[in-house]
Amino acid sequence: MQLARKGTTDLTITGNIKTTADYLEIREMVTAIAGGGATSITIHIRESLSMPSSVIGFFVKLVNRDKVKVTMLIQDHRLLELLEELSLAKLFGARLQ
Amino acid sequence: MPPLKNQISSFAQELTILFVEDDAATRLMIATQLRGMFKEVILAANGEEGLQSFWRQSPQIVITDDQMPVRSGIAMTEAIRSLDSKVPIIFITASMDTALLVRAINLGISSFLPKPVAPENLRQAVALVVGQIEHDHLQQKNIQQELALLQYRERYHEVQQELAFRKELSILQNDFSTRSFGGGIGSDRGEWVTQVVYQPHDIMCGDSFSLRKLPDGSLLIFLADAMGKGLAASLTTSLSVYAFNLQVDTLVAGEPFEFQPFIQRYTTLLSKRLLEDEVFSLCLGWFPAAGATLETATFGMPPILIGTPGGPIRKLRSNNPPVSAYTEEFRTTSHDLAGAQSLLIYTDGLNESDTGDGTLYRDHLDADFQAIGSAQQLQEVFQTRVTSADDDVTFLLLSRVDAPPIWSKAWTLASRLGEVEQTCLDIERRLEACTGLEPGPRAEFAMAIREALFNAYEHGSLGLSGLVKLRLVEEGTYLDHLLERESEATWSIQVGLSVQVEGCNHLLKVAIQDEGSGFTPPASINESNNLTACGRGLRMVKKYTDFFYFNDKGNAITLIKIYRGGSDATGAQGYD
Repeated sequence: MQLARKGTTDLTITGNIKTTADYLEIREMVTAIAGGGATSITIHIRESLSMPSSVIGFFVKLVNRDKVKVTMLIQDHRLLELLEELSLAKLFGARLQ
Repeated sequence: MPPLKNQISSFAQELTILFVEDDAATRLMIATQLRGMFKEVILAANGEEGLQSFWRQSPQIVITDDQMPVRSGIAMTEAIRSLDSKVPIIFITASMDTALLVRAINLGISSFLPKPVAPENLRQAVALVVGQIEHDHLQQKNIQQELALLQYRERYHEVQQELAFRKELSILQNDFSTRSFGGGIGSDRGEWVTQVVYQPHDIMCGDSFSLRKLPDGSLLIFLADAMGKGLAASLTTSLSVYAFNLQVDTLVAGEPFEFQPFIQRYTTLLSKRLLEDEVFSLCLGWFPAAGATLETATFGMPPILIGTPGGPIRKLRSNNPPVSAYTEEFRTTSHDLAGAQSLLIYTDGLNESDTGDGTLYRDHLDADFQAIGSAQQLQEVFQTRVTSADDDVTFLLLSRVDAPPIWSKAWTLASRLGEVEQTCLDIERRLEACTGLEPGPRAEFAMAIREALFNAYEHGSLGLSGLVKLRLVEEGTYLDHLLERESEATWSIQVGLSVQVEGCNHLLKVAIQDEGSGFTPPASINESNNLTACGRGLRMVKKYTDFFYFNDKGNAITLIKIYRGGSDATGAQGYD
């Protein structure tokens, strides 16, 4: 998995989000963006067809506690289906890119 | 630590040395010096004697002259090296022959001593060799100690993990593991059985489940998947299922169960204990005592699948995000179960597992769910597609078992050994017509029926306890006792054999009911506790059926075997 920051509020994730290292990397990068004062973050997710619960937990906290608006623009329909199944699509502002 | 120059370590007192010298005076003089240093000094007059002594007594050090009759020192050294490449050898020689010295060096000689041997030179060479041996010995000892410590630690952790896993299992609960749910005359929901597959990835598992019979007779299902894997996930899930069971245990008989307030209490308690970035996926499903409905509150769980005979699969999506520290509100949904034949509730370890060909198991799940007839079959097909699951996998399969039979046969038999035996044979003959059932599984199922029927006869009709049976068998009076007791017995045993069609499977069902007082089957047949002869019979029933269940009273057992087949029922029909 690779992360690329675009501008002040956009983050692109390529590759499959899977490992604990992926979670830590995403957390660090997103925390840095939010720490910079961003009140909304757009995550572009390419290729990944799943999302570990640790990453889900981090974004739930970001939305509910830190009040950061999250938008997930997803390339693989299977990930969107998963988020819809888990009743998370609305919370994460998830839609197909 | 190596000894100082010329200082021989006291470790030498634990060693044996072989000294080979043909000159008697020299042999005596050096032997005298060595005797004070070593535990034992072996003397030999030539290379051949030296070799024999080496084989017999395995000394830890060898000192040898070279020029000797019968066998030279170098020839003896060559022979020793063919057996032992490490024993230190001190070589005494008057020769400065280069070829000999090279040969000796190539044989790994530890030291050379020039002739005549000066006591100081001897002492120095011996001190060096003893120091090396002691060093090697200490190193070996340290390795062995470290190894023993590692083995101890590993065993310690193994024991801890085994204990933790037993603890984990002890708080999982299925009140319906040997009971059916629903059923009865006029029941619009029908009769259902529950089967659970719990396949932890690590010993400490993040999944947990509980199937509880509530005081009003309804069924409440709990299936959870804590965030992540391993110890942290296991701790969260264990506490959560424990809290759930505790909340169920405090429900008061006679008071109506209210699903919404129950969940409100539970999720409030749970969310207070979750970490700020922790989520907890949870399914709570309630089957009210009456009516064909299912109430759900699912939190970030994969969809519940509902199978209908010949129809498409219905999917009940999660109606809430996962439980988190911020959960305040939730939704529940009521689903109509009319026409439903099976339900699959599972954690994402099942559908999100990688099949290794670029797809996830979710791409196969619908088709497999429609094809299988038991939880074990689903587990087998899952394991075929997913060779190494990297998450905990838990699923609950609820199957309706009261479809109208396409064929059935009933027996009423008196509690007589002869009639029981005859009925077993009759059933076995009829099972042969089920050609879709392979001979092996057929024979096993027949064995399970026999065990269950004999249980009904011995324990149900004749009132023989497991312990009494054990004693009678040991005394050799068991059969006489049965015959004596059955002469007074008036109760009969009902046996029903039927075939139902469930999707693409045939369900072979054998129901056996006695008129006895019934019994309370153990919560888990796997438990290796004080099972008596009767308990062993029940284990065989578990082993040789796809599933089985008792009625509430415990005097009726139903055994189920699932097989695929088209003409089997027709074949069976040919008997009547």
